[in-house]
Amino acid sequence: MNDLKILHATIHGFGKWVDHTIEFSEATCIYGENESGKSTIQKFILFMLFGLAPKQRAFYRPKTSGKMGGTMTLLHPEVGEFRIERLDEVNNGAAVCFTENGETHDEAWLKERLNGMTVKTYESIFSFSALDLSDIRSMKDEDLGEVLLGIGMTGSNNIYSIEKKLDAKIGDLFKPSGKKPVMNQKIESLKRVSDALQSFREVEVSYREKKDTAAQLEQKLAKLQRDLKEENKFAFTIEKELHALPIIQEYHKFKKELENYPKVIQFPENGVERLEKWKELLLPLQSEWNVVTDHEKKYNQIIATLKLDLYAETIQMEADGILSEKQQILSRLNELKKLKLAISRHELQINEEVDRLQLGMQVDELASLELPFYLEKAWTKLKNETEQLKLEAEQLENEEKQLKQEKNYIDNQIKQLEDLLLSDSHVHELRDRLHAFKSNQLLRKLNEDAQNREKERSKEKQRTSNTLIGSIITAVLAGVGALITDYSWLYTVMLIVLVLGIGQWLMTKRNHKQFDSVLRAYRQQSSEHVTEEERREAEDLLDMQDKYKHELAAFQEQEKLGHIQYIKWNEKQNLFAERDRRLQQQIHNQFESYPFLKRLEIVYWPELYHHLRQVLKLIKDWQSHLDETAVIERQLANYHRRLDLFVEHAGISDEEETLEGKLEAIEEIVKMQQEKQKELTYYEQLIAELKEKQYEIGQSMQTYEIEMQRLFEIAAVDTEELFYEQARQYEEKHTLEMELEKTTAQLRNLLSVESYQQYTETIVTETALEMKRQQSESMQKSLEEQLETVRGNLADAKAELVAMESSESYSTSLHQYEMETEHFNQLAKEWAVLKTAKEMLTETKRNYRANYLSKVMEVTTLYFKEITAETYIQVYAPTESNPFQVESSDNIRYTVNELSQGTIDQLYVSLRLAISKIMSEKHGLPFIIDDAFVHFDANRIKKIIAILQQVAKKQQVVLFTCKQEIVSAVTEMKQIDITKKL
Amino acid sequence: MAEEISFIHAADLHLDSPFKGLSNIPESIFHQVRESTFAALDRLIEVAIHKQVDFILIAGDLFDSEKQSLKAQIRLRRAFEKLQSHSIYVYLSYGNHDYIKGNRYPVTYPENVFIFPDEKVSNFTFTKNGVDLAQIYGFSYENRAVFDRKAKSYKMNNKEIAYHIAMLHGSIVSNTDHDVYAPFQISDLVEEDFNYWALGHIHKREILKHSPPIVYPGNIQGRNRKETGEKGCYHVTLKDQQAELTFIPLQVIEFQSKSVDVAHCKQIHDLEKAILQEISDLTGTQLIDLTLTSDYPSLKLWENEKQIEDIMDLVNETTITETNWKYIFRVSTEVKQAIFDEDMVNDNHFMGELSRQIEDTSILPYIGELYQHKQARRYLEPLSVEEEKEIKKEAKQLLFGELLKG
Repeated sequence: MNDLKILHATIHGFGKWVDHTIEFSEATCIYGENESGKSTIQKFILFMLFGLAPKQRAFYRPKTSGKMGGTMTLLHPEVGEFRIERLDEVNNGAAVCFTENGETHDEAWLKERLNGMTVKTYESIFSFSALDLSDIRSMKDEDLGEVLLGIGMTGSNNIYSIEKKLDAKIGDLFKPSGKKPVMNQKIESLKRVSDALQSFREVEVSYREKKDTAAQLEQKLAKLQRDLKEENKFAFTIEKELHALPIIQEYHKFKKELENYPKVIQFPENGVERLEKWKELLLPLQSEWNVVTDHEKKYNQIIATLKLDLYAETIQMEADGILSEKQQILSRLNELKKLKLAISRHELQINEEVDRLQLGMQVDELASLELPFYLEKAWTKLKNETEQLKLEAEQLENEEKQLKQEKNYIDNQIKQLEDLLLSDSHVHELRDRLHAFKSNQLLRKLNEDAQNREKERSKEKQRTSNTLIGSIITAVLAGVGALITDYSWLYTVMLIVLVLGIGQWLMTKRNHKQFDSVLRAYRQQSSEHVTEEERREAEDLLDMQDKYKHELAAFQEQEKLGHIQYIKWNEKQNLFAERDRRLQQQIHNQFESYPFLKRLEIVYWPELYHHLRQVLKLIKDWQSHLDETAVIERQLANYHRRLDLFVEHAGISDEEETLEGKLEAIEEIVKMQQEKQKELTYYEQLIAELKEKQYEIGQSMQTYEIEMQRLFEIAAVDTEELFYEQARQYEEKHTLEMELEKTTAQLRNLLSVESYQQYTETIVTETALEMKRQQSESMQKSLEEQLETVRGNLADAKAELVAMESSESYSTSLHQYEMETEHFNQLAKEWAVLKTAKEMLTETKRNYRANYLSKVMEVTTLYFKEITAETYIQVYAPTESNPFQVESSDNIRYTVNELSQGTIDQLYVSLRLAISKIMSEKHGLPFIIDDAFVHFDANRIKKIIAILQQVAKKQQVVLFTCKQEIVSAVTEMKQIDITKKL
Repeated sequence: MAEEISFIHAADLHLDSPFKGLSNIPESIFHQVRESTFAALDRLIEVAIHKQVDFILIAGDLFDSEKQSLKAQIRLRRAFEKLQSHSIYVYLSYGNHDYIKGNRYPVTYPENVFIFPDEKVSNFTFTKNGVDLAQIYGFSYENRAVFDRKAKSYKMNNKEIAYHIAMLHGSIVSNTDHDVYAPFQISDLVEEDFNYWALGHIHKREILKHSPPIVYPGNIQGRNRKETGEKGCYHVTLKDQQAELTFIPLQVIEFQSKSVDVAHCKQIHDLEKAILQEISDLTGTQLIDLTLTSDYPSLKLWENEKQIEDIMDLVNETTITETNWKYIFRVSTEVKQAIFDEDMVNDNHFMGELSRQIEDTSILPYIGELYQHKQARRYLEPLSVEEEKEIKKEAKQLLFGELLKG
């Protein structure tokens, strides 16, 4: 038992009870009929625990006793036993608690021990009216919730009314889609303020723009003012220009006229006067010049006539040429005569010579013959060689004879010696005999050697065997080593050693075998015996044989030499034949070139050569004379032809036939020609004089003409006429320029530099200027208008800026907005509080119901199961549409309406107990039940009592009843009969 | 021996920025509230002229870019023009509220005004009678925030000049109440031998260090219930190494926090008299944040029933007519005794549940209807955690009060 437990209560005075003590146990059943004071005891317990309001205390004041109050002893799980004492007259009925250890505590302490339980709650838990649950049949979840809430809410106001109040307040402040509530209205007004603020802000934002605009306008204004000033100036200029217009026009007239003249007219200073002066000086000279020219003409005519009479110069020259050659021609004629004589003499001589030589050749054949310079030598050489070869042929013949004699002698000697020589078989036999003798001696010596060698051989055999064994051992070792160490090269070593060892052994063995066989052969050889005599005879015979052989060899040698000499001779013979053949060839060649040689022995050839030369020379001379004659004759013929040609050309009478005659005629012509030439020369001299005179006059004239020319040059003209024309133009242009200068000066005074330039460059008319003036005027007007507008705009802009700067609208509405927002936020918070309160309340209510309902149902099921002896195993809480439901042990569900009244009562009690239990659980106070089971039959009561007894194990149970059945049913409870009837 | 110089050090003018926490104030007061920052500025100018100072230092936040009104700058220009006519220079830097790039209006100030042009620390030289007398260092916020430790960039130059004054708009690293901009530590500021540190940004007046003076002058006009008491500027005279500082109040309206014990008031109507009595002691034009304290829960009930509000209206009606008017713009209540018995709550199943429910549940889903409301939310500031708690607390009080009433 962890909970508080009432041990006993002593009533000093309370209602009808005075000085009454009740002892409680875990489960106590207090029986009494109605009006027996049962409820008063109940009330006393509550009074002790929680106190009573003064009025109630007065109500329970005993009529029979002055005392009001009592004590109650409790057992607290922590504090232990303590006693509560309440007396109406003491401290307004406040509790005084006495613990076992003698401490005294006050009301607050008690409250703490009771876990904050109040009388209202206590009452609501344990004494809620049976009516609350009685209509269990039609109970809905809402109803059950309300019951629970009713218990939980004891001592507080109706939640519903609070909710309603809150809702009203919330709705007054704000509705999400309302218009009337304060905040909804506020939103509207805020919107207005905000909009205004926005528009003011926009206006203010345009400040920057406006300021820019103002600045631009100011700039524009300044520009317009400048422009206007310029335009005014311009108008004034035009005015002035109009004034100057006649002068301008004049200027242009002059300028145009001037344009007709060349840009530059060159003319010498006082040119005309200067020209006149020079002309006066020139005139007399010119008349003189004319006279001289006349004379000249006359003489020239004469000369021309003379020239006509003259032979042409070519003819004269030809004549001179012909005449100059006259002497030469005459000497040529003489020469020709002499040559002809010499030729005839030569011809005679040649014929004589040719006949003498008798070569059978004609003169012309000889003339074509050529004798080169080397021919003489060649012919001489051929002659000598022929003689030489004859001598050599004889010599060769002698040599041949001698050689043949020597050969015969040697051949005889050799034949004799060959007969003396022994036969070959005989010689062989002799030799064998000598050989056998020598062999016997050698064999003896060999036998001795063999014995020695046998000893050495056995020694060697031993050594070889040792070597073989040693190498085998080494090889085995190497093999083992290789196996152990795993060096592969050791295998190689093993193999090499083995091969070497075996090789050595085999070699030695073979050598011995060979040696043995040799030895055996020697021993087998026969041993023929030759005597000393036989030996000596043989030796002599053999010596002789050797001697003959030597001699034979010597003769054979000589024979050989002889043969060689014969060969040499043969060669010589061949050489000689060759030379002879060549010589014959050369001679033949000469025959071919000079066939006439065939007629002559070679020995005379050199002599012939000399004779031939002489004849040839004669022929040559004769021929050259013939040539000369031909040349001279040709020259003479030419000359003659020239003469004929000249005569024909010069037109001389062709009467003279002879050369001489012709020549004389020509001489005559030449003489006449010379006379005419002289006359011509005279006139030509006259003309030369005239020329000189002319030159002098010309020089004088030139001086003046140069002066005049210079004037022309300056004026850049060629003729005098042009010069005078130039003089005129020059004068006119000068005058114009003067005029122009005058107008220019005037214009410069009147016009500005620019317009001066402009108007002097282009022609301007009055209308153009007038138009310009009008334009300028309208421009001025327009500018003034613009100026006015801009000025106005600027003033407006500035005014606007000033207005803006002094405007309070934005500022004011900003503050207003801020303030209203603030207010709105305050209201919002207020609303939030109300709303939160309301929502929290609703939420809590819901949670509370849900939470306790399930707990209650759990315990209800537990109890119901027990009361119905597990006929029913589950109780389901009512829902919105369904009432309570129970589930039987065979899992069939029944609604509460389907149950019998008795079962319904059981359910009621289960529920009732469950609610009480759940609600009081926290506080752990005794469970007080008052007459709850009116409708129960004995059987059920029993069951209920059983449950209560069960409950009592955990929580003290005090049961008040007026039914005897119950009293009789409680078996494990302390029974107190306050009526003392039972 | 350098010539003495004198100047005014002010900061955080916040011209024309609206007051916080005022709602439903009468028109007459509203006008004055609106003009209060300008009036304070006018006083500042008057003081400068009267004291014949050499120059004025304004260390940032002259106005609020976010709620910038042209009026603020125009009035500022007029004020500067007035100073110009008295040959008083102005050195100013822009702070986090009037950062350069946020400025909407091309208002040009007269030539006596020197503005630190950018975020680089630069300096101006103050010349008096042809003598370079003071170097004034500073920088302006170009953007909404500066997180660099700007104090370290302040390096003195031209040390022949007698006085070196640094202007800095920022806060101490450890400051947690405000946005920490251009953070510094006092040790940073004394690294260089400046004669005076003219700070700005923190609205509460404070002298961080006396030698050399490192000073927050605070703002010149309180603008919410937390900015209570006198607000103004410092008049500073520098003479060699000596600095003399005098605080000059400039505010035209003073925020005042006032607590009144009304335990003796048995009836709601007794409150009016009690409050009036207390208020009459206050001098100057006041906006009062009133806290009523009592031993009895009845005060809370009155509050819940809006009865206190009615009383305040009555009180304000009386005080508002005075020349130096007083106006209670906010009232809160404090009850020393528990309003309801916690035991009772514990005992009561339902109230226990309710109490737990309130503790454990967020209020946001409940209030979404309003705070997420399409139109309403435009004007609502999101609730802070504290405000949420406050609402919960008030809701609880309200519910318990109602449940236990009678």
